[in-house]
Amino acid sequence: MTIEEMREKKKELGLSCEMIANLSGLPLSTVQKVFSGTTKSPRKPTIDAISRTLLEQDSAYTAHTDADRKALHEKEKASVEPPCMYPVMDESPAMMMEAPAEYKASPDSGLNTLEDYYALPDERRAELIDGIFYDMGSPAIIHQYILGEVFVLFRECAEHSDGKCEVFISPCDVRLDSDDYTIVQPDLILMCRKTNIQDIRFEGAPDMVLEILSPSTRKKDMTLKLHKYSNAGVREYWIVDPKNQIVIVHYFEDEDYKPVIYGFDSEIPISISSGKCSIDFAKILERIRSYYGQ
Amino acid sequence: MDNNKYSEKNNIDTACTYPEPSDNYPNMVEEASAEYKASPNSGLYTLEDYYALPDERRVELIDGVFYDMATPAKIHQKILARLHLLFEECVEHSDGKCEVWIAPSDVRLDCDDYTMVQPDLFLICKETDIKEIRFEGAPDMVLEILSPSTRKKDMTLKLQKYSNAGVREYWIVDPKKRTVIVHYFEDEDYSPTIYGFDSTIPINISDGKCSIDFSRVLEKIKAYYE
Repeated sequence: MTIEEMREKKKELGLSCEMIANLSGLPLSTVQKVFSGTTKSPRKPTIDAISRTLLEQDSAYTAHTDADRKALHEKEKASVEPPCMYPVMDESPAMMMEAPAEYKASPDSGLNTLEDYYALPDERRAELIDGIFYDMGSPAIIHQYILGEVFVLFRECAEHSDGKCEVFISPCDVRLDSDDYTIVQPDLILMCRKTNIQDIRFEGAPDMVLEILSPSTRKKDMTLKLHKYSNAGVREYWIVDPKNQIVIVHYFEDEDYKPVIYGFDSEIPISISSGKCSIDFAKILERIRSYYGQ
Repeated sequence: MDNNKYSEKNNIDTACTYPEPSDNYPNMVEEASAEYKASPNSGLYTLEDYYALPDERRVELIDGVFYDMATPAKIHQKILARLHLLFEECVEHSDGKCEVWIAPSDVRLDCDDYTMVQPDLFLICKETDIKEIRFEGAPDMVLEILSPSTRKKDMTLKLQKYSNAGVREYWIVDPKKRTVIVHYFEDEDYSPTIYGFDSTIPINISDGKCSIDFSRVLEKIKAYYE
């Protein structure tokens, strides 16, 4: 159905925008905007849903007797249906910029999606969190050095455990919320479930995530990502802070969850390993000191 | 994103200022436009829904989602009462620029229609109109006392919300573990600091003028830990 045809049918059936919204399951404002022409190119699922609703109502309608239909017409003439107008809050151009389908996957949101993420040029390293891009600069040497050291220790650990978990190191895409608005690239993850080696990315929350702070990512890793990881179901989250030489361990599965702070001289248990595995950060500190002559 | 322009056009209190996203996340490239939130398609609750709730139902609204607040336990209220006293003392003896407020007070944290929180205790260091029904924007400091049901939320979601909104300092009081976690967001090398209930904890935003002696809280709640 074209929008014009839908308008005709809607009028013929005496349906209000609200009724169509209720019957189709679409939000009221979506329906309003389609009929008022505010949304110039509604998404196909939206059109389909409205068409289907109108056709269903039509067949229900045609089941009525002529007398019924007449009565309905009379009622329609008598009642004053408020014009199906999208309540425009202001006329600013920004308001009208509500993106149509071709522009973004979700026309009304103005957020970036997985599609946009994959459309980025290869040189541009970014994370996508709740529809917003966060550029990732090239990490400092110390960041990569610590990451390498940490990876080695985690690998050792993983091997000595029952081998259920595997360690992965960045860059690797993690579609954290299994939706279209978030893809992160944690520095290091532990996956304790089978993954297909041919996949291009990880789906859902890793069992454990480790991030190493850079000056530009400190706030983001400590607050935004803390919440995202906790919310997504990550069981344990380590934040390595080279500047303050500490590691903050967030063991979310703890009923009395609270962050625990370790110095770089500590041996830190991997909480999700139930006592089988620890990471001796003193080894890393020693190597940093010997290499950097501190 | 330009929340202030949005506010002006919709006659929302323009005293509500919201920090630039790039202050918090220097690498943030694109901020979701205000229109995303304004779009009613999102299936989120708004301030309107918040105010429409029956009085008996105590909730917070965070990013369009309701979080029920159970009636707090006695220990929670005792700690809060004590802290209120200590914070008031502190603030009066310093230059008195800040004021202490306690729950229940509505704080429209993000200056938008999708978040309204009721922090246990907060400090506002700018002038507010005592006749208004709610606070606009981020308080200078917020303190929350954990309950079993709010632990995760206060430690992760609210941590992010407060940090993002421009709160300068955020304390989390943990009666169960007898600790206070201080998040001083303005610190360039921001990292949480953990204190015991026997400590004297400086209020970072007071520039050394004020500290809270938590042993004075502990002495009132000793019975709880026996």
